[in-house]
Amino acid sequence: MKKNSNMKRSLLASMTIWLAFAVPPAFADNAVKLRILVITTGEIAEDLGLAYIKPVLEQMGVKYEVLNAGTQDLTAAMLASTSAGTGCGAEDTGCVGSYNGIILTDADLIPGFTPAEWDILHDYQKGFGVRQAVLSGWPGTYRDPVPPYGVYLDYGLVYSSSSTDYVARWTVPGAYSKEVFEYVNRANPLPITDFAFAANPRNDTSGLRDGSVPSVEPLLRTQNGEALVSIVRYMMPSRTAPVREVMISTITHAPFLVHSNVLAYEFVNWVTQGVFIGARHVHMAAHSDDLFLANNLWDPALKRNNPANTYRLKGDDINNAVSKQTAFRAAHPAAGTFKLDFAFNGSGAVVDPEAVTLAANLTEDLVAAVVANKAHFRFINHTYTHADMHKAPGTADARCDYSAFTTVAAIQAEITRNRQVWGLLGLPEESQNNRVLVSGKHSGLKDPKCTEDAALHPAMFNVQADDVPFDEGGANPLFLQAAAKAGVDYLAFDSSQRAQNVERYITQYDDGSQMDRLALPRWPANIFYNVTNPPQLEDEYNYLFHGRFVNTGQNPCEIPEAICTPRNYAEILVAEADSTLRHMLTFNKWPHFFHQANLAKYDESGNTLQFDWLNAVFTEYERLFNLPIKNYPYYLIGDYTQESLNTQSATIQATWNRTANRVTLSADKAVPNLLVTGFSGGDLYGGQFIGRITVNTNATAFSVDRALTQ
Amino acid sequence: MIQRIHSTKAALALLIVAMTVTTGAGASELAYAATKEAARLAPDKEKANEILQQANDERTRKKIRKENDEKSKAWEPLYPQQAGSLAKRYRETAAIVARQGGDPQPLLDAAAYFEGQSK
Repeated sequence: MKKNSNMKRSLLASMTIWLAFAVPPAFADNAVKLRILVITTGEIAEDLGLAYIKPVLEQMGVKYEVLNAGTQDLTAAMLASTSAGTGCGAEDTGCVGSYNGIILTDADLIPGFTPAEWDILHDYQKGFGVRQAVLSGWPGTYRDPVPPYGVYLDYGLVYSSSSTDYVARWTVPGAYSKEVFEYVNRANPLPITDFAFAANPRNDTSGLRDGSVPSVEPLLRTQNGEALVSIVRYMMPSRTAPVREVMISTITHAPFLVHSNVLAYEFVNWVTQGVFIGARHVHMAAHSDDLFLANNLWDPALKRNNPANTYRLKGDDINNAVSKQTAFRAAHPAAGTFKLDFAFNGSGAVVDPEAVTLAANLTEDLVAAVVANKAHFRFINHTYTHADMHKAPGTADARCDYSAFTTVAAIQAEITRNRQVWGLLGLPEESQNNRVLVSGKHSGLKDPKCTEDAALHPAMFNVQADDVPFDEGGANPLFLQAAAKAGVDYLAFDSSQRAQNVERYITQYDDGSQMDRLALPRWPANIFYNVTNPPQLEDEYNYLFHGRFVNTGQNPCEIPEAICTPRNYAEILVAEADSTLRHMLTFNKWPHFFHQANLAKYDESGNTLQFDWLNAVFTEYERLFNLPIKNYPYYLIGDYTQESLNTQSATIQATWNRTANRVTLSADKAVPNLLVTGFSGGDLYGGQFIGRITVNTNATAFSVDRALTQ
Repeated sequence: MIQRIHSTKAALALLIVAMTVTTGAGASELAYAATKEAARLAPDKEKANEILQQANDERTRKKIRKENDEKSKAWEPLYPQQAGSLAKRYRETAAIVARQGGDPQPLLDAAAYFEGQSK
């Protein structure tokens, strides 16, 4: 049972009032640990705010602890202690604050947080100069009904309206312009598409029982000028600097809302004053699979692929892609030097695919164009023939949609022969890319149980329904062994498949190697492998997401994966841009994958489905963000993912001495490339320095630079 | 004369826009109505089409974002429970606000919204 006695509460509150009026802040050591305290109303199943901020903190690599106000009491000793572990105050020598930022998932933390706990929290913030962010909730004012009475919680706001449809506008004051929401495009409105309270700043002389008076500066307002996100500075009559600072949002956030994704970073950045372990970047990589092969095409009349219709890129398509890529970079400042990645199958680029000694078909139109323009793109091994890597069926006479390899050597040859083609074509970054593999159709990572081609199984509504997923033993051990023997470190996973949407080491299968392969998920896009132009895409898209449900007597409006009404090409692009934006704003590094047919030039202007998609995505992204995109090669995504997993498994101690403006770091093991934000050096990104530092068991000090003038 | 008519029409259009930004809920619908009116009053047909196209784009983007929100919600297994907990907390806050002499109705409305979301 969580609760303190009223006596304890009133004593603490009395002390708070006395301290606030009589003693100016005294910082003996003025030091805090680089760690955030997240105070919640419950476990993740009960607290939408925790479900929202937890993945953000984890993706960024920020250190944090959770206090469930529903079941745990907050004590002063939790917030500050000496090296011996005893509770202490900011004025005590050797006292270190346990957190350099506080995040509350709810504004009033009712019913779990008592007035006495609020006083303890506020005292800590005042004593150690630690900021707080409130993710959502009611902007109320609360009075203590028992001694010492008085207002213990007040954000200086008065409720004004609520809605699920605001068009918010940025009103960040100049004084904060180098510190908060630097990464957003403040010129454009931010649509708030789910529930929010809106409030007006009171900005009167009413204060809390500690004598502080809230002064509110809205950063984001409704179309009516009401505050949605504000900074509240708690002022004491005799001082010019605030004694406490809070960022409050009255929008109810959820991990799946775009406006929530846009705002999330600043809650973390604000409370930590821009100094924390971890960092965030926004990423985009587009993989075009199956280069040098032909893809079957969708037939709108048949509502399936027509084997008579295939498409293999032409030299002209490659030249066009170079021009389109140049135009795309010019149109979108955030794209920087973006390059497409081609996952290629070398069997389509050689004179005789069956030959023991391969020879590049350098005079062939497509091969010649790729070689001539190779510096404009990046390349990935997609196996030699795009062969299926699935497990062989249990019985030799089973009817199967695909043929399966039965030896490790045969699978390994698919990897190594493609490397030979890499060398023959002189494609760039061969050695770095030997560590990476994208299997054909991500095969080998689940068992389709011989049913893969929907056209061959008209009685099955979903041919994937009987698949054995990766986490239930569906992966092919022979494939994993071959990858290990061939020196592949990173394997592409399809994030839309069960248990393939996590970046992690593949530990559950024995691949005969001392090291585990690392799974690197890729996001699929709804620009299908078998379409080259808008009408074809429209037809397949509307069939898959609408028509086929109608045809089988189902109501698509009641099916989450379906769409209620068919969409035209422009609407499909809007939907794709919106979905992709959500991916990008998770700060994941995962690429999106497409197919070579999507680069077919479909009109005289040189338009392609691939670049239509990229332009739509970046237009949407640049409406909201001004951060440059990180467009990494796949092997580098693998390297960075490996570093991130290494960091997650380390225990890192970091203390920020604000007087010396230095952070001292140590870890329980070597962490060679720890991402940090707000340290001197590193790259300037979104107005902040983001660096990679080496940390080990010896304590090392680093200078802080919050880049407030950048 | 023509100039004056245009300026009157422009003023009317501006008034409609101003009205839309002083209202809360359904902001996008009202904004679209105003844009249509502004486009109708625009002197240049090409410009009018451009305004309408932008408004349609905006409506499409917002409609699709809402649809994607709903799909995303449907895929979040914990969301109904989280929404239910939030509704319960807003009811508890409403009771405290009422005890303090405040108006609990906005909190009860919020609770009702999230109760609906929890089903």
